[in-house]
Amino acid sequence: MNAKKMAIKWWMGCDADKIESWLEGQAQRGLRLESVAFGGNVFRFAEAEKEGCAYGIDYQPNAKSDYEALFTDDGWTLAGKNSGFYFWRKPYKGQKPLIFTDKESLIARNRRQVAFLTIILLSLLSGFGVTIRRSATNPSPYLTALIGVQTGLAIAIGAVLTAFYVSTRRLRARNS
Amino acid sequence: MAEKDRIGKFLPMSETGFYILLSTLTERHGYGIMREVADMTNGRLNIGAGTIYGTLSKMEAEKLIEACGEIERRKLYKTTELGNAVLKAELARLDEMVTIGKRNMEAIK
Repeated sequence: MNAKKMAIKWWMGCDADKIESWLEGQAQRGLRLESVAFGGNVFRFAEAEKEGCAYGIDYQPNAKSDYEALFTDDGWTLAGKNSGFYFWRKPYKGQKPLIFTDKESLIARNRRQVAFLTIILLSLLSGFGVTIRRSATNPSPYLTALIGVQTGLAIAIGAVLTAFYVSTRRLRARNS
Repeated sequence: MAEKDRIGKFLPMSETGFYILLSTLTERHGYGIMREVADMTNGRLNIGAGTIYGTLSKMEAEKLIEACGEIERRKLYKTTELGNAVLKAELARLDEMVTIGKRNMEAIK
């Protein structure tokens, strides 16, 4: 039985390349990704042979039935899947394989996550409106705390959306 | 005019889009398309699986290609009439560029 290791890493979808590089580094040290959990932030590894291994992270909350077959046909293994995130792994020598080979598909990956975050932000804001109205007519410490939590969450999602906006602008400015 | 616009909005095509549409002149599934594009370009153009999946979904929504069957849970795609017309228009555009380009380069030799 291979020894298991766990790591927790917080990251934003627009920083997927940093997580891919980190996972590749783990593989070079002999830790192979076995599963992901909790929104793609908890990583479980098994000890394995040290190897050159490319990782590709995709976000596909509505993947069609042939999505996984396309990747496995191309030699990728699904190392983990959680909350719409797919973590693909492929050992390589020489030229590193990529799951996205043009900037349009990287921009589209950003767009899918922005769509999801926007829905979350809008439902949070509508909940926020309800809390404010209830607090105005019937104030309570509970409602004040709730307003604080909702404000904090909305600011956090707003910050992530801003990071996506910057990332997409940078991608658009790239040549290919 | 409407017909011209309908085709014109897809031009100029990206290299990836052009070769994908060209390879689906024959029915193929996603991985078959990746292989065909790599073969056609002597291994120069290796399109990633995520890029192929996204491009096929987009082209299907734009009606440039259509699903025409399935083999072992792998969807088969084929270029539509609109896709064909777009390919022809793109070829004509490229052809004009090559002809004019060659003529003018010859002139300065």
